[in-house]
Amino acid sequence: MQPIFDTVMHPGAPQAMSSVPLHARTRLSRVLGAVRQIPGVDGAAILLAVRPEPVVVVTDGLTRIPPEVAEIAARAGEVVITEAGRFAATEVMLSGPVLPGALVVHLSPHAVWDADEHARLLGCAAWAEDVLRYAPTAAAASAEGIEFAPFIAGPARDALVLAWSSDGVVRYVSPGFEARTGWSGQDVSGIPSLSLVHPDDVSSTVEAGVEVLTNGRQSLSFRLRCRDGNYAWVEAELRADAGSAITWVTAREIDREGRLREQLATAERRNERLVSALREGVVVERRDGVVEAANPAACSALGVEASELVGRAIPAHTLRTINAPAGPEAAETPAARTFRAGEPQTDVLLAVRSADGTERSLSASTAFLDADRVVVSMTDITALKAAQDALAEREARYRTVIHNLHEGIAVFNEAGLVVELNATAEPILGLKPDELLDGPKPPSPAEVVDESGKAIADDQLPTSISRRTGTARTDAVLGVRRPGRPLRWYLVSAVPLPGGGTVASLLDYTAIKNARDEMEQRKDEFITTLSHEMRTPLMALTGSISLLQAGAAGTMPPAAGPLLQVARRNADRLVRLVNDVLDLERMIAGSLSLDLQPHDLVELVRIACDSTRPLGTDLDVGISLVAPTDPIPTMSDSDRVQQILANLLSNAIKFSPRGTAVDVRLTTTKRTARVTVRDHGPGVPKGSRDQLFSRFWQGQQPNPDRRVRGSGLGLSISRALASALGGEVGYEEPAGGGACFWVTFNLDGVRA
Amino acid sequence: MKPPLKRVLAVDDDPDILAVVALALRTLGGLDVITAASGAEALGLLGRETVDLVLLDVMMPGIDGLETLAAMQGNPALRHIPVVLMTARVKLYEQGAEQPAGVLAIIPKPFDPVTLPRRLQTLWEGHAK
Repeated sequence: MQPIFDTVMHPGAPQAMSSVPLHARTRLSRVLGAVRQIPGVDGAAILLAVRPEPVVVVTDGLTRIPPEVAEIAARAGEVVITEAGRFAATEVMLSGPVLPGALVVHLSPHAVWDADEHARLLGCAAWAEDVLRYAPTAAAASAEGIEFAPFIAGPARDALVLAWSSDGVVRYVSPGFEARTGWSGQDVSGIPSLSLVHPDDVSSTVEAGVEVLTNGRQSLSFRLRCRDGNYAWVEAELRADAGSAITWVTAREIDREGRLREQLATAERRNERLVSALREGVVVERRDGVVEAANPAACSALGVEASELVGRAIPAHTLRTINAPAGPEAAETPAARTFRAGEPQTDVLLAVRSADGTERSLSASTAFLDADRVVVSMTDITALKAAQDALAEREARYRTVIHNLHEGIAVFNEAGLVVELNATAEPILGLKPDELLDGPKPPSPAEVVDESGKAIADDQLPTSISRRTGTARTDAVLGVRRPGRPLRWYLVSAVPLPGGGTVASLLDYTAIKNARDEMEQRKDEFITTLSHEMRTPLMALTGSISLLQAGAAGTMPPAAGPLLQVARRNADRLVRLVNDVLDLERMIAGSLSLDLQPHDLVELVRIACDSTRPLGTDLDVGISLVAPTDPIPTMSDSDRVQQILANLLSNAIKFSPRGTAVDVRLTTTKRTARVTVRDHGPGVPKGSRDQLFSRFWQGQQPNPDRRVRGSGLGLSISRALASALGGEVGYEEPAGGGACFWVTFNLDGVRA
Repeated sequence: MKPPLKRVLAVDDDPDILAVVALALRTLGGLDVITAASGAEALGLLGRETVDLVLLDVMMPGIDGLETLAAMQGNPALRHIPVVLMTARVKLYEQGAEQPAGVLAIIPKPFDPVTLPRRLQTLWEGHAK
C-alpha cells in the first residue's frame, strides 16, 4: 500500500483522457459500489478524473475542490450528491446520458471516519493507483485514447493530517499540515514522527500510539513542532488502519492557553459558589492573622458580618480554644495554632462569644493552602454539644441512680463478659469497676446452685439463656458461693438489651430465703408436733367411746347410745382432719411412701364403692358402678387409690339429693384408666372452680343437717396422691347438671 | 403349742391411754394387765413380775420405748419377752423402718382399743408358732 502515497500524494490537475476503457469502467463501478456503502468519508477526497469523461470526485464535503474540478462538477450539477445515502447516482453514471463530464460523490462532512471506511477509501486509492499503473503503459492507453490520473485532495484546508507507518516514520502530511507547520511533504516524509512532537508531549503521544494499536482509535492533545521552531497546540484523533499498518492522525489546532484560562475561570467560579454554599464555615487566614476570605457559613458561625471579618484579624476575645491548656494557647485562632505548630490541626474545639453575648461551640480543622495561608473549616456544633451535654448529664443521673440501688445491676456484652456493674453487684460478681477499665471481664468464678442445691452450669444461668434466646428470664432464685464466703441467695432476672448484650438484676434474697426456709421448717415441725399432740388425746377419746359402745363398761342406759354416737362421730372427724393434714404435709414434703403392687383396678373401684355404700345408705343415696368385666391390671398403691376414690365418692354422696344415685364409671384407653364419679347435686359454682383443689376449700353443704363434714383437704390430697401415682384428678361439668370428678391412672408398663 | 396370751405389761406415759388400753385388754380380752407409766418403771416391774408380752409406747420422756426395748434385749432374762410397739410417730412405721429385734408389730396410734385384744392375741399366736 505504501506506493499509494508516493503516487497519490501529488495533487495536480486531472489529466485529460479521451475515454474510459471498459475494464476501467467496470472497476470504477466496483469502487463506486464500495463507496456507495460508505456512510461518510471525512478529511480526504479522491478525485478520479478520466478525461474527457467521466470525472469522479469522492470528497468529504469540506475539501476544497480545485476550480477546474469544481467546474466539471458544476457541469455535472445534477449528480452532485450531498448525502451518503444517495449513492444510487453512481448507477446513473454508469448507465446514463446524464454523465457528460463528471460525477462528484459528495460524502457527508459529519460522518465518522473509521478504520473500515478508511480502508474503503484506500480501496478507491488502490483503484486509482491501479489506474495509474495502467497509465505507464501510456502507449497502450494512448492507443485507446485513455488519459486519466487519480487525485487525492487533502481534507479541509485547516485540517492537519499526518500519517505514519508502523516503523514510526512519517509517510504523509496533508496540505493543511504543510500550510500550518511550514513543513513540506518532502521535508518530513521518512523522518521519525515523534520528532514533530514537543518533547514534553512525547510520552503521552507514545502512550496514545500504543493504545491506538489495541483500541483502534485514541484522542489526545500535543504540541506540534513547526518549521519556525514554534509549537502549535493540536487536538488530534489517532486511528490505526489495520490493513496498511498506517496510523492516521487528524489534528485540529486549539488555543490551549485560552482554554486553560477559561477552564480555570470556570473552576474558580464553581469553587466560589461551592464554598459559599457550604454549611461548613471556611476561612482563609494569613500568617499575619488577616482573614483573606470567609464564606457566609463562617461569618454566621463566628457571629460577624463578612465586612467585619475579611481584611481584618479575628478579634482575639471572641474565640477560645476549649481543648487546649488555658493560657495564651487557648486564645490563639486555629490558623495561628497551625502556623505555630507547622502542621494542620484537627478537631479543635472552639467557644465563640458573639457581640450579643451568646456562646456557640465550633469544631475546626485546618490545612495549609500555601506557606503563608491556612484554610480553616469550622462546623457549628452548638446544638450537638448541647445535646451531648444533656445526654451526659442524663447518663450521669442514671448512673447515680443505678449505682445507689440496693439491687445489683450488671451489664453483660454479647460474649457474656461484664461491661458495667454497680456497687451492689460488685461482691455478687466478684468484680470491681476498676477491673473493667481495660475491657470487659467475666464474673469471677463461683459455685452457683439452684434452690434444690443443684449446681448450675454457666450456660444455664439466666444471663446466658437470655443472651442465647433473646428473651427475658425473670426471678430465678440462685445461690452463689464464692471461695471463703458463705452461700448467698439472689433473685436474678436477665433482660436482653437493645443492640445486644444483657442486663442482669441481682436482688439479695438470702434473708428472705432463710426466713422462708426457717418458716417452712417451723411450720412442718409445728404441724407434726400438733398432729402428734392431738393424736394421743384423740386416741384416748375415741378409745374410751369405743370401749363404752363395746360394752366394756357394762350396759349403757338407752339414752346414752345416741350421745355416744355424736361423740364418736365428732371424734372421728377430728382424727380424719389430723390424718389429712399430716398426709398433705408429707406429700408436699415429698416424703410420702408408696407401696406399689399389682392390682386389678376394677376390683379396687368395686371395693371403694362397697366401702362407701353404708354412708350412701345413711343418706339415702345409691351408688351405681359401670366397669369393664375384664380385669384392668395396674401397678399401684391400693390404700392410696382407695383414699382417692373414697374421697370422690363421699363428696358425691354428701352433695347428692336424697333418692338419687352417684354414677361411677370406669373406662380405659390404651395408656390410662379413668374413673368418673358423677352426682346429681348442685354442681360446683363457676366462680369456685379455680379453688376446687386448693386446701381447706369446702363446697356449700346442700343439707346442713347431714352433719357429715370434711376437712376441706380431700380434693387437695386426692390430687396430690393421683399425681404421685402418675395420674390426675379433675373436674368437668356434666350435661344435665350435678358435678363430675374424674381421676386417671397411668397403665403404662403394666398393660402389654 | 403355747398357752394363750394371759399376762401383758402395758407401758405409756399418758395415763388416759394407759387406762383405755388396760380396760380394753381386761374387760374385752380377759387379760391380766399390769401397767407402767415410764420406761424405767417398766424395766423395774419386769425385774419383779412375769409377763407374756409387753405393749410399749415409743415416745415417752426419760427412757423412751426404743431404749426400754434395747434394755430388755440387753438383759438375758427379758430378751425372750415379745414386744408390741405403739407409736404416734408416724415415720417409724410409714417409712418401713426395720422392725427392731424382739418386736412383734408396730401399732400406729390412734388405734381402736376394741380391736386391740384380738390383735394382740393373733400376734401372740403367730409368735408362738
